[in-house]
Amino acid sequence: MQWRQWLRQILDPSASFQEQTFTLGDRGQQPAAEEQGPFRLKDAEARTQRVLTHIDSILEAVPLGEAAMKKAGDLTPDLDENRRRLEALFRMPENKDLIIRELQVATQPPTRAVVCFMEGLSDKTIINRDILQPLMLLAHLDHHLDGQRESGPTQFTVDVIIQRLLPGHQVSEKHSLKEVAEALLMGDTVLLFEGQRTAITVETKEPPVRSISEPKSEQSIQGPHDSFVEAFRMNVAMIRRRLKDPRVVTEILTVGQVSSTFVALMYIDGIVNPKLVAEVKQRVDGIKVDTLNDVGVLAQFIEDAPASLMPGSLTTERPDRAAAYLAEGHVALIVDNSPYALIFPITFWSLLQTSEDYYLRFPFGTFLRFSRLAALLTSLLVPAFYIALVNYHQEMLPTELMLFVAASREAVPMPAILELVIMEVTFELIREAGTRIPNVLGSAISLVASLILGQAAVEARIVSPLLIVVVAITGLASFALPNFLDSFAIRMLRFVLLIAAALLGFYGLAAGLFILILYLSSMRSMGVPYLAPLAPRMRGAADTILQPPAYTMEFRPRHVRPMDERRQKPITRPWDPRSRAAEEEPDRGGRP
Amino acid sequence: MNLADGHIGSAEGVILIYVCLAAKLFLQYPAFLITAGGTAGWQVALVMTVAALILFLPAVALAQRFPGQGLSEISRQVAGPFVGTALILLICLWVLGAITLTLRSITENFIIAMLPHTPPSVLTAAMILCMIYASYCGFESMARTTRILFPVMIVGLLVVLLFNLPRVEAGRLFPFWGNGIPTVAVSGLSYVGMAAEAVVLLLLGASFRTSSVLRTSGMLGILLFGLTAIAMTALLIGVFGAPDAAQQPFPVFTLARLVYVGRFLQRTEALLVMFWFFAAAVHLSVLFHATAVGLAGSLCLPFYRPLIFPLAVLVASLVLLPEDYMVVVRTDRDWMRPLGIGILLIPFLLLVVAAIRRRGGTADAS
Repeated sequence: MQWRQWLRQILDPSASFQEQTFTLGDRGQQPAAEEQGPFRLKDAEARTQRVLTHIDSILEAVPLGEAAMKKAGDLTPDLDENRRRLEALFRMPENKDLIIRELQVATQPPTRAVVCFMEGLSDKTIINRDILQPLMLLAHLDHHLDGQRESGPTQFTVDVIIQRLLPGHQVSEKHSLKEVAEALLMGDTVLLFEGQRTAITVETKEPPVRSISEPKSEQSIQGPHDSFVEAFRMNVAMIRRRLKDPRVVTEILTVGQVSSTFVALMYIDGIVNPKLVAEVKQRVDGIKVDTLNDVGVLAQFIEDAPASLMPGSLTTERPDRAAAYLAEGHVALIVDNSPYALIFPITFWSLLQTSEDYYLRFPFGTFLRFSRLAALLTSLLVPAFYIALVNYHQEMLPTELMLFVAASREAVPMPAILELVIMEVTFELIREAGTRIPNVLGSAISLVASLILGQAAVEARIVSPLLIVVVAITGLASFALPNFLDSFAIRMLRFVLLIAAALLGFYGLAAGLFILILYLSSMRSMGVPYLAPLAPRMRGAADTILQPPAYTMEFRPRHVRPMDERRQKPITRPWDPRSRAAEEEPDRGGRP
Repeated sequence: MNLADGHIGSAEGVILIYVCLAAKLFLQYPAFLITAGGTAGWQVALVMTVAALILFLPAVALAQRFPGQGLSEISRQVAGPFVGTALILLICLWVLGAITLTLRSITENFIIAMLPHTPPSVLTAAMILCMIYASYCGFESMARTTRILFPVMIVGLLVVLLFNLPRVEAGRLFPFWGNGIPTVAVSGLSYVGMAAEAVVLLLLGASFRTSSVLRTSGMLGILLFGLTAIAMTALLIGVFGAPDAAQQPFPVFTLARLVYVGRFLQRTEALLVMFWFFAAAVHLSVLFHATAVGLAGSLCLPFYRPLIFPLAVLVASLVLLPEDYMVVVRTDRDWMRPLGIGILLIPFLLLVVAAIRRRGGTADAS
């Protein structure tokens, strides 16, 4: 019959096309929802059964009192039924991730049980050594809490199992299938027993994590070299290691109906403003989403102006930086599976700072901050300034330089703005390619591409040599900005100002800058003015562009409105004669 | 946005009102003072400053009598719904006129200084865009922007003042009394309208944290403006001599053209004018915002934003009406500034009526 099919394909291509091409529904197939009908019916049936079982267990618990009623769930005493429901819930047998191991607990008489865990998420050594071995081999040794052996059948209870047979460090009871599923998905091991409406979960989490490594985007010469990893518990521990204060609070919130991602909200009670904590919690609780994979997504859900070019939160991969912000009265959000912490609230100036500033002596820190401010202005303004100068205000250049610029541009047929845009776009392409190419090749290819392209562009008379200098300086300056998102925003704003300068010279540049600063002035991060503490000016303004000596920073920044404003004693160098002289000044200690 | 949105502190208020008033010194106003006083033009500025400070005192008293309220609310409370509204409309009309003339002057200045081939309408449109956005963001954002840009503006001013000091010839400041003491005194009083823009503080009174903040902002702002005006006028006379300085359409710009930093950077006036742009934008934005808020208040509207666009269209239409720059100068000198005295007197009038009718302050409390 092969030849018939072949003939049919030739005579009726559309028919053969329909047979061969896989589509998801754009060729008039049956809607997927209809195909899902039987599965949905099955789910509904399972849900109804669970509800009925729940009602049964409540009715059974009513005579036993309130405590029993609280424990009433939708698990049945029938082990096989519980297992069947669990398998249905996890789409077995297609799904191979859930491992169900049936066993006999070595009680007298033996009790049937099943052990369930998720492959890859749980520690098998713990399961073998601390769950299966005690239950299957050691359960017959002693079943009684009082330690006295009795003849006859053992009274099997979940309490006996928990207290005598499971040496796990975290063991808890679960009463509903939903709780059981959640525990399994977190990596815990679940035990179900014949005749029991209660399941036992044992903490056996061992999710795949990488080891702590050096920061990738916030490197420093002086200071700690560890960075966050994807496991949020490790991240929390790294912060706690730096803040050994019982007032450090870690609240765990869950976001995402499908991903059930843990979000740790960290703050220091007694320092942080409770209004800030309440607002952050309210915003995180308000997120109704299926998955949450990274702090970047979380930031978009809770920032004041998520569409803004400028970031409204600080993303850091350094635990020391997160700890320092917590100590100042900020809050930190850590998302499971994301190697970053999200700090709220922030100001524009914090995007220009690094933790290393504080580890250096203040003249060096101040110098670094000035360098970054210069980098910011260079990155933002130099291309626009060049265009304004070349197109509108040539008289500002010294005559010799002006003649050189004119001569170098003479051979180039394109207007200066087009030259600049071409080179800027090329530079962005090189940068993007350098990021995507494997690390071993990335830097080499970027270097070769920029050198060869620049040289070739000048020789081909597409751009003038001076323009290459402008683009190179601008690109270099943008690399000096410590925050990735801030750098991104500045790169985009550069193009906006470039257009303004191309249209109206310095007038357009000034108008663009005025509007940009107005915009920044109107922004807020979790209720804090974006340009604080400089505008509005508040205490803490010294620690923005300058880097004051550590021993003079006596107060926490006012703009976060901390509950405890003082962070160190007025005299932090008591051995210093100068400090003693200052102590004798009447208003030194009491300065608000 | 609400009429009373935001809170301004003393430092921000002082800087804002200072920049708002001093921005005019980059235009034709120093020439007015020198024309009036001759070699004693700086004394005209001195008299004008003292008179403006005195005339602003009733406004301060009125703000303290009605704390946390704008001039629109105060006016309606004191003078009734009809007369009160009419007074505010009068002030808004004057401020609108001031915006129009200043914007046209600035446009002419920029055309001369930077963009000789650009149509005025384009420059006007760009500035109006800034005003619209500033008003949209609100008074608080304007004050913060001014604070951030203040060092740049001060650099723009100081460069002109300091780099021209070597050109000053003290002999040009004599005869000391210029056109005579009576002329200086009368001229100083007649130009007190140069500080009439300070009345916008009252229109935006609800945005100030307390009435004492408003008082500090107004008094210190006017004082600093006066000192700058005195220094600028004296410098102009010292550099050009009174007759030449009075002839300049934009005397400070001419001073800026004389700045010579070094061979590597010459003809910096375009750069300095860019710095002045910020001052001009702040000046116009504050006046524009005050007009919108004042109008909204007098019309009992809870929000001012709906008025921004119509007002912008009105300003854009009015600013192109004068035939040339001379018409602008004459209208400003002969009409707007004398009328400014009347505008400064309105708070005094309201204060008197409030005292007579026992409105506000302790009278209400009793």
